[in-house]
Amino acid sequence: MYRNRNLDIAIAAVIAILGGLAAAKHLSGAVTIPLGIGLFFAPGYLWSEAILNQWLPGVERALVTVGMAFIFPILGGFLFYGLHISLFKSAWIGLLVVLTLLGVVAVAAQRLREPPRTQQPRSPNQQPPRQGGPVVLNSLVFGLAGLIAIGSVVYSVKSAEKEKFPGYTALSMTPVVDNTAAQNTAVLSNNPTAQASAATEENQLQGTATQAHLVVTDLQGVPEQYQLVLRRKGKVANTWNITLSEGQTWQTTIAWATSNNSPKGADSSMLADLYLLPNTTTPYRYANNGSCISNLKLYPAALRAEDPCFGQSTAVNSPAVNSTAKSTAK
Amino acid sequence: MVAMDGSLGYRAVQRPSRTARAPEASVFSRVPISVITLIVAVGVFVSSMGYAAGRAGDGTHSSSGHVLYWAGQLLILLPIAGRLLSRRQLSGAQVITLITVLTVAEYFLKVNYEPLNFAFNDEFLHYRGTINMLQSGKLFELNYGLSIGTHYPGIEEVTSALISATGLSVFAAGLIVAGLSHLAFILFLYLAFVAAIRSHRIAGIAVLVYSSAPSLTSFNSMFIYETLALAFLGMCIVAGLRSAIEKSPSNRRRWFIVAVLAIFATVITHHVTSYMLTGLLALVALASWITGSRNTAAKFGLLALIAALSVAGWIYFIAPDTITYFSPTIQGMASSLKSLTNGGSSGATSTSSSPSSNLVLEMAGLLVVTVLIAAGSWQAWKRYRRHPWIIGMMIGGTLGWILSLGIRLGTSDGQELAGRAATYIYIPVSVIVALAVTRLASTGLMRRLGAAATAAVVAAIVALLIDGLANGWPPYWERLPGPHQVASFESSVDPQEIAVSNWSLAQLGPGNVIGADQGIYPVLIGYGDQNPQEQVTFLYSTPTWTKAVASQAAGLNIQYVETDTRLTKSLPPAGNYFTDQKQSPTSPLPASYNTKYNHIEGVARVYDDGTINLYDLVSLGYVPQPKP
Repeated sequence: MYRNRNLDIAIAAVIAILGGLAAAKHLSGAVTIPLGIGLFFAPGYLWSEAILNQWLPGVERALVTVGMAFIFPILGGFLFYGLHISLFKSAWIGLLVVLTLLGVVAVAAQRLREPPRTQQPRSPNQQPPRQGGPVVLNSLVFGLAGLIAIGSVVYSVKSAEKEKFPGYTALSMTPVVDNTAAQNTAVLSNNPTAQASAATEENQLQGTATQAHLVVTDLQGVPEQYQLVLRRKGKVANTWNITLSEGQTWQTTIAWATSNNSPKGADSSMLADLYLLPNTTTPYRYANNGSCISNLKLYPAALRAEDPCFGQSTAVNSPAVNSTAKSTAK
Repeated sequence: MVAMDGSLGYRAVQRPSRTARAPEASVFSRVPISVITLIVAVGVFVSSMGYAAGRAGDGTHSSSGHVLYWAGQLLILLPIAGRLLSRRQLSGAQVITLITVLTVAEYFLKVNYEPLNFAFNDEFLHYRGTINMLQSGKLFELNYGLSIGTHYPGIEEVTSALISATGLSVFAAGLIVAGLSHLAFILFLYLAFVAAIRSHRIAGIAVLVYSSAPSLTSFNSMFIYETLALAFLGMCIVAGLRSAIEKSPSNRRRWFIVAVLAIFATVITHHVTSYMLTGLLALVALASWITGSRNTAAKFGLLALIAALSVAGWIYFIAPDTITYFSPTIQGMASSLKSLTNGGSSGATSTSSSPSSNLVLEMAGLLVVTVLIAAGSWQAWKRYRRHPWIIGMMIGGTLGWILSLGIRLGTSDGQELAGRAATYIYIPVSVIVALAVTRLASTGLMRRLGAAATAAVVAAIVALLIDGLANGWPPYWERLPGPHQVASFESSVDPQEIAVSNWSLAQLGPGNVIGADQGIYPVLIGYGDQNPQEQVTFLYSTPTWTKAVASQAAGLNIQYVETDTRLTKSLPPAGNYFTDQKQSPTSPLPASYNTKYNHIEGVARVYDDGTINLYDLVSLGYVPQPKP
């Protein structure tokens, strides 16, 4: 027993190094996941051994190992934050590997200093009552129970995957805003002034965008054929015939016109109608840019209700609002 | 000295108290633990079949699904309760196996409820927090759904580290972190109970009673910050106890270090748990001082001081928002309780619309626990007067229970608050109740009644556990997964909501201020990284876009409005369509309240999937924009 008492340290060190290499080299999940789990828990095990060098029952040792394994990323992450080290993958792996190696040194030093500890003698009163049946049979029954429990998860996954949901198709038309500052919201988020500035900028850019994305996604559960018709100022500007299978998305970039980037008073209306073939009469989905057409009669009768100004003489009027809504924290 | 089985002291093991003696045999008393585990596993499968029946049929209206779900639960609860409450001797290892099996079984059912994605609202918030941390490499990142949570990044740190090491998805890593934390908490709790009561059996029964806490199998096992913090709370209590009772000064110091590390981790991970930990440490210090255990009092007093300073330091330097976050809740509770104690009405409205059977079960459970606390406290005072832990539990349990009843009956949202508080209050309560139950089972009358009496005790405890499940989460109207229900938490999360949220992030970018119903709200935060607002009922309360609505929308910087045609067809089982809706609607949302957005000049209809539409209020400046 004394001869092998440092085997655990060696195993932990090897797992940590291999785990670090596997994660760094982006090896397959079959290699990375088990080694990574080993790397994650190795510091907890080693430091629980180093700090609590007394003999502990298996359950307590395992619990303290898990607890310490959870504590290290929390305290380590906070330390990195204080040192202005970004917590990307490399930092986490470096932290776990360094903690493991330091743990190896700490436990080794601890064990060199002290004689091998002995397991506490079991009190006669602590003898567990005999279980019926041999150990092998009990193990088999436990194994069977584990299989059934895991089987319940597999069964539930299959059941959830088979669950029926109503099929649908999504159409969207959104202005393209290329604003690096706002897209890096997460980077800026610790700086409220920068956030507000990026928000204002993005809202302004959104109003003056010159391109838009037109996107169709099929989630009908079956392949479908569509016709997408884009109208500008009431006239057909583009027509696309699209065939999409389940889960497939079609996307194109189009010119985007609004009253903000068009000559004053000009008709800048845009209307996208998606038809589910063979029906080319009634639009299945539609999207617009919010601009009203100059004359509703320019639209076929079936589409007039899709104009923002349909059924009203004038739009509601009130002063403009300077919005700094984007990225404003609650 | 701690014995191998986790109990404290040979003396205690050699001379078990009368309450710890094995009572009469129950049906399960001779069944091997392995067979009980097998029965429990079958129970998990049967309950999962109930879930599958819900998915395949009418969801919560599936009667066969309900039968299967509850039959499975009985297969889980009855053998474990029967074995723990039987009079046949159990070793520490056997008790640990039983409570591990119970905890793991209920966690499997939590996973099997929605095995493909996170579905519980709060999990979306931490999903987003973890994604933000992985992408930005920073702590304290903005989280639109849980601004306070950004200052308590413990679970995101642990999950990010695990993902970085393994390459697992956030969902898989989150399930591992939450599951292990939950199990660690329960086992630490057991070890703490063993230390307090000096009996595996009563400690096991205490954990069994604790399992009836309404939020244990839901909120305390979800991928949320409280789940992880509870594991640290348990670890700190056990390490604190060991730092006080170990014979070797070196070992005492070492356990003390572990306790301090656990305190720091708790403070960084979850606000309420860190306050409760501080209170618990102070309570044990006080009880130790009262019972004359000065060394223990000093040790726990020091730990309580470290915890209090850590909490104060964290709030002052890192999370000053915590005070404003909790102020309204505390003020509301205080004013309701004050009104109640002054003899007036608290103004509390019943938020519960549970079936009468659930309410009856709940009231019976409250009554039984109250009686057992009284009996247990009497036992504690009579037999353990010099024992600091038990006296601490008695004081904490009794006061906590009274406070919990006051909150439940006297404050608005009392049921929810009391349910969440039960996580902490049930810690001492379960010990006191376990003392009472064990004592009750050992009385002469019960012994004479034999197996019938044991069966009655088992039935009562199983009824308490079922009460915890029935009145916990998910609520009765989404007990089984199934078809979409409007504005109602998990049952509103379908692939369609997830697709819209993913689309919003891809096409609109993060952080847009969106008006949305309660159903899609957390999904927009989690998958979409959007900033949906809570004050949105006004957007859906008029058939036309009026100046007042426009002005309010502008004041809240609303950029997009989401509408869902399903809101016009059915009422929300959760009570409200929108997070800020004061009155529960009695009829579905009028269609014109949604469709008005089709006919506002300057409002672009940017997304249409036949059910959910998104309208852009800002692309033309703002709506309503000035006429040229």
